[in-house]
Amino acid sequence: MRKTRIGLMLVMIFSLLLFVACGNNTSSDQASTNGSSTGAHPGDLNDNQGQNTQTGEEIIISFWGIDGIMMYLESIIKDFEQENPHITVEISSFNTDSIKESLKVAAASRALPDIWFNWGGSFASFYSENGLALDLTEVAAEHNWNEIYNPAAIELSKFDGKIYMVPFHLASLGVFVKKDLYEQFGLQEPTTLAELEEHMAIMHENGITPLPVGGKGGWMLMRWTEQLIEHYAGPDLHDQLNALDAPWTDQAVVKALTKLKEWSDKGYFPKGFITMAPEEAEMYMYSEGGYTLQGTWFDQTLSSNGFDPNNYLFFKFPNEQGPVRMSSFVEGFQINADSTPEKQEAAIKLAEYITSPEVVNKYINEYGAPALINFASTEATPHVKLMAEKASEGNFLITDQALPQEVVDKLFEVTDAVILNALTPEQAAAEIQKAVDQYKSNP
Amino acid sequence: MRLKAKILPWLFLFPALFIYLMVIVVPSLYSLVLSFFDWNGVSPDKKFVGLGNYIYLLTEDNVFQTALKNNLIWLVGSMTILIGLGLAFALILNRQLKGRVFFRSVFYYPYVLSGIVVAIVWSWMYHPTKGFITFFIEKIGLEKWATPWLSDPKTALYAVFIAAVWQGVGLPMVLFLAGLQSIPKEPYEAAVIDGAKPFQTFRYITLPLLRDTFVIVFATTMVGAMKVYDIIYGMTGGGPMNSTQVLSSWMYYQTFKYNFIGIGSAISWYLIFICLIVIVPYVIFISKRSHY
Amino acid sequence: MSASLKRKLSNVLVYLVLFLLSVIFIMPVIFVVFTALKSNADLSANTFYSFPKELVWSNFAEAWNRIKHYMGNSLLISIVKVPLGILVNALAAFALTRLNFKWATGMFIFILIGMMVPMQATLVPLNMMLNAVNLNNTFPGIIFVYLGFGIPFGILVLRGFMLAIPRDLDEAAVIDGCNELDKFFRIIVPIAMPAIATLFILDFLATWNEFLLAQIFITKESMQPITAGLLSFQGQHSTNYTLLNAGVLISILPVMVVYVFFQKYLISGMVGAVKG
Repeated sequence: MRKTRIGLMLVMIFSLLLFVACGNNTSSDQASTNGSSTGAHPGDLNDNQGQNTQTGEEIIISFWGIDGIMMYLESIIKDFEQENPHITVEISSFNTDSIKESLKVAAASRALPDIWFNWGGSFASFYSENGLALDLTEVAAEHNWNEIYNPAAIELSKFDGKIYMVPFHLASLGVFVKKDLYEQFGLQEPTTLAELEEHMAIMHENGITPLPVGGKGGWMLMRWTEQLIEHYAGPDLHDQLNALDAPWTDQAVVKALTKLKEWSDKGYFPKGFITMAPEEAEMYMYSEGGYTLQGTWFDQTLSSNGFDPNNYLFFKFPNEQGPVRMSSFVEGFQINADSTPEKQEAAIKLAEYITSPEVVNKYINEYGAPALINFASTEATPHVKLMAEKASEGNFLITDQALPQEVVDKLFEVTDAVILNALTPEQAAAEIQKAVDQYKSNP
Repeated sequence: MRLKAKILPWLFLFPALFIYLMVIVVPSLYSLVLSFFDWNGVSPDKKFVGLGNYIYLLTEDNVFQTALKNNLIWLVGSMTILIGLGLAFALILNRQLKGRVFFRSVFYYPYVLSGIVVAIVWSWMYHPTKGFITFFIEKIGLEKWATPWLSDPKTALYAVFIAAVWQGVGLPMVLFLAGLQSIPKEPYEAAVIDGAKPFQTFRYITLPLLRDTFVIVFATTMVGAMKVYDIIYGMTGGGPMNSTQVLSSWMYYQTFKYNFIGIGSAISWYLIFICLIVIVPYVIFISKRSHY
Repeated sequence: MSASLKRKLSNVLVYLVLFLLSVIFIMPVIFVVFTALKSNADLSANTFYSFPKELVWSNFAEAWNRIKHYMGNSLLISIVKVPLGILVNALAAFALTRLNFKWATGMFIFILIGMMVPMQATLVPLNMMLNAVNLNNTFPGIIFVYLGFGIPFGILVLRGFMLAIPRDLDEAAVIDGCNELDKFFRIIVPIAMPAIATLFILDFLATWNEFLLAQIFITKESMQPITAGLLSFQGQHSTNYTLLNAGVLISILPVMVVYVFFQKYLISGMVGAVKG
């Protein structure tokens, strides 16, 4: 009894001392570096005692990525560390939603990592706009990025004319369908929206869900909405809508929403799809089929779930515009603007290494859709190369990255409302415009 | 000696109080301050708006109002159905039944699953074509009722609530069981001699003796209901049409998606404030009576 | 109708109700087991409640390989945090119920309010604080934060139980010549064991399932807890449901063990406490 008691007290006193000790130790530490390394991610205590970052011999950089890419990035980074023995990379990996939140918290507490994965558009621009991400425009010029990376990818990595991202993936979305479905019904790749709709009707009559969409989170349905807007509005007006320069009450928006409603009423979407998880909707694509709007990652998704991507056809959504633009977005790496120059240099080196043609070609089976001009094609992801070529014919930035998040969520909300008969397409369009006006009035 | 008696409680309290102040009090006050500002969390320009964020939420933000309403529905549901069921299970399983340990474990185990897991499991139960509930309802001839419960704004919240009851009933049950176990046998024996009916013994012996347990159960259930988040977010994502947003999820949106830290903080403080006016008077009332 | 027949009938009824309820409670998890044993093709082609066409036991091995180091981290965090938290809270509850503390009720309310603070609201300032003392990405750091969020509930539970312990026992202790610390460890803690067991079960579970704080304060992959491990089955563009379900089943084992072990203790210890 007495022994456990003393033991417990010791544990408690020890832990209290630990906290106090840590406080003392690091407040002096902080003072000596004069807060210049606020962006550096503090490692655990041992790291800090063992290495002195100020001598410049050993550079430790912190790296934040997401689970999906870490599978292959871990071995790429190991290669990198071997080639650059003085650089150590501390990896953190997050769930897709978690990284967005963790980055915001880190930004607000001035504790961003030295280099982090991000999506382009409004996700990245928060960090660019607020001076948290390093301006890479000069680096890009010095290192001839325009000879390495796909121009579309560089364009999508810009904010306010300056480059703030090392392009990693260029994702573009097109229509996928099972080949055997086409053989079964004797169908051909559609060139007009009307043909696509004919196919849907045929599939529906034969008990196949034509459009397996999961509406939870809004973004999977949005892929159809934005292509319908592109179809009715044409490229110029669509770009103006996304730039908030044209009113969303435009007839093109109303028509697009009306069409969605028509498809829903005809039963083209799965029953109860509004709150279905997108991943559940994708299961339809593994078994019975139908049309799905998916990105360059879809080959990867299929093969990782044990299905052969060669059994699927890909084509651009027939929006009847010239050129037919695909919806695209870029994924890339941002560098901490507050890190020390040595760390920034090491981080840029790492990002360029990860995205270099040699590395990409070595890991092409898992890599997804690189943001490069030239890369090898592979059996495992047969559509990636084709989609990249098609995307360079023309693309627009995907809606949920083109619009401010408040407007995006309003668009999702009113799309649901139209489908559930709570709003007419005209009322829905007016609601979006209201959200746009409110966003604009907020300085 | 006097001095020692005065200092002693503080010494015992110190570790808890120190950690509590550092982890909860200081950060909360920080967020209280932020709730009076219009700020995106990083930019140098931080505008003082007084109560502006609070007023904006109440008067202009429709989703906030839906969220508030949903939280109140959830609160009422939890206080009646969840606690009622928990107490009923505890009363039944407190009897000398064969296999009661088994039944206790069965009713408790969903509570060990995290909200995200429960969300997946129950979305699949409700799945309009592949789910068991749909299948079962059709099997017993009620096709009319086999609707996609989660996709209808009128039913979505209640459908999620059923899942939450399945998950959560184990907590009040375990707490009530612990409380029931601590009630001595003597009052019951006396009641039997006096010829009291079962309901009377429950009303006049069991309930009063469970007072301390009720404080714990009420407080945790209310707070749980006000802070509910992951199960709803996992099952409906706040949809359809934002009809299942709750305060916690809307705070998350405002803070981390739209970068309105001030508005997000104001939602937090509405939440704290509502909990305060519901729980604190109750606890004060109870703790005054329960002093020996 | 005789009294014994009546009791028998009501017993049958109770068992019937309990049985039906058990079916409702067990069923969803049966489907989790089914899913964990399916192949991806089977899962996508058939209903969620169908029996696996072929039992894919390798899902469990694969899931285990992916989550085992996360399990280790969670175990380490929980094993340190839970007893430490109980000690800290019990000391405080003792002060609030046993030491004629003038501010007892006020202090209790003050601490209780902390239960209402949404975790999300504290993330940014906590992150700043942990950074300032270099405790970010360390186990002491996350344990410190967990201790903080566990305090209101812990004190709520322990204070309630300690209030119910008769005062005569304290006086007996004083006669025996115990000081307050002796009284705490030799009298109150043993009697409060049922409450401590309850708290151990609930706190272990809360720590095990915590996600929001962990994802902010433990970002290094090698140190992340099980909740992060389970989420890693959800990729950016697809979710591996079969492995996820297998992983979930594996991940709840420690919590179930803790429950089974302590629930026995809870019931038996309780009776002794009151008679004590």
